[in-house]
Amino acid sequence: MKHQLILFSVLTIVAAACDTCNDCGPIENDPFVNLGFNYKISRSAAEVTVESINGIVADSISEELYGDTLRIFKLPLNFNADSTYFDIVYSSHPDEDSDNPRGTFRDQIAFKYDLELVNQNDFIKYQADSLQVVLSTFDSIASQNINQEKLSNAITLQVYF
Amino acid sequence: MQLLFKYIFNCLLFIIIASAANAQVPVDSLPRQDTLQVQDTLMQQVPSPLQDSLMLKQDSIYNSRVADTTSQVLSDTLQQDTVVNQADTTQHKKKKKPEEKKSLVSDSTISNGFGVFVDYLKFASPLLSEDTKYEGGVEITLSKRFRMVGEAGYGLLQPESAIRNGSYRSEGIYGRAGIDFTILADARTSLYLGGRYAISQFEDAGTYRIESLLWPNEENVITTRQNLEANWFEVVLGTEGQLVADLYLGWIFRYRRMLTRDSFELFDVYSVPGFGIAKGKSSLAINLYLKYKFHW
Repeated sequence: MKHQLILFSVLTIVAAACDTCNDCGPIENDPFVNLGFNYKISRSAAEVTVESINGIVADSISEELYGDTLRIFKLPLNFNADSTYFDIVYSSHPDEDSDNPRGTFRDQIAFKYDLELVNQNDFIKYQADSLQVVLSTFDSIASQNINQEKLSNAITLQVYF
Repeated sequence: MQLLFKYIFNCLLFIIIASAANAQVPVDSLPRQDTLQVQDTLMQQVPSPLQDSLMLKQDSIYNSRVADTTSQVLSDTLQQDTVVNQADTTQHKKKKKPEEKKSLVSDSTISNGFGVFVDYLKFASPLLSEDTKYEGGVEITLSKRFRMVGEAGYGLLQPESAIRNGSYRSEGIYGRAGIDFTILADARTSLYLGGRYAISQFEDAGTYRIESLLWPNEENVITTRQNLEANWFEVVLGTEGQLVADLYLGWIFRYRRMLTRDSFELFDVYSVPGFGIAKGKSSLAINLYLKYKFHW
């Protein structure tokens, strides 16, 4: 009987403590496109500071200030529409002895895509596929995986300025 | 990784159960037939008048208390018998020790009757999580080894892990029916193995919220899906011990295997009342119960 009671106590504690973990790491909330910045003169990767991004939809402008210095930026696509128009303000800080442009720049880029609601590891989110660049004011764009990968998150666009 | 931890936990739990079963039931427990054979042998050595009186008592040999009394009388008689020589006496003394152990084998825990039980851990479920659960059942002893079991319960499940960026709830009732087979039993504890068929009728609903730093957030409600159904079978291994008089305390380890359930593409049923998380085909569970037995 003593063993039985001890076992019941242990099992009660174990059963109470056993719960499903829901902390399984971060998941990207938005569908996004990876945007890599490059100098058009040297054709090398540029480290830029994204000052702001204006997301423009039909009747409103969403603006977010970033201030992050990076080489590849995750550009969040609008999951309320099947197209997104971005106005990006960024500044470049090349080495003193290089010919690469220095200063603040402003460019626009627009995408069209198909949205799909998915359940990824118990996280409900949108993913965008069949991504197309429909407008760009960058000097040029080179795409990686845009034809091979259907999902926007797997695509990296290299933009040159 | 979560799944791995779950399997390790399950393995440990199985080891605990196996060791507990060994601890609770005497290993040298013999079937009642063997006990009767020993008693028959002893009866041959008892004087005839006493045999008659003892034969009457053997009619109620299934009653453990009478069996104990009979054994005591036999033992006393053998000790007082002056005809038996010293060598025989030594033999009887050698036999006496195992006989005392055999007298522990009793069918009192599986005597005819019915029992009513409740899962007392489920009453505490609102304190441990956001779930609300109630479960109870009845059992009817069919024979010395078999009993029929019916269980019913209610569950309001709100697992946080169902939708990480939202909420989920499922609510419904369930019932199970099956048979238990008593593997081992002594006067106070028993170990049993059984099977169940279970069915649950429930409804579920949920919400999700997709947030963005740049774009307007989206919040949606997944409207209540009613008249959902799931059915599964269970293999159970349980043990129970006498607390006081006809009150028993026990636990059941359950392996559940889903047979069929309603399913949906994007936002599938996450948990089923009575089954638990239904993402996989199987689940494990433990019930801790308190039982009262009525005898006839």
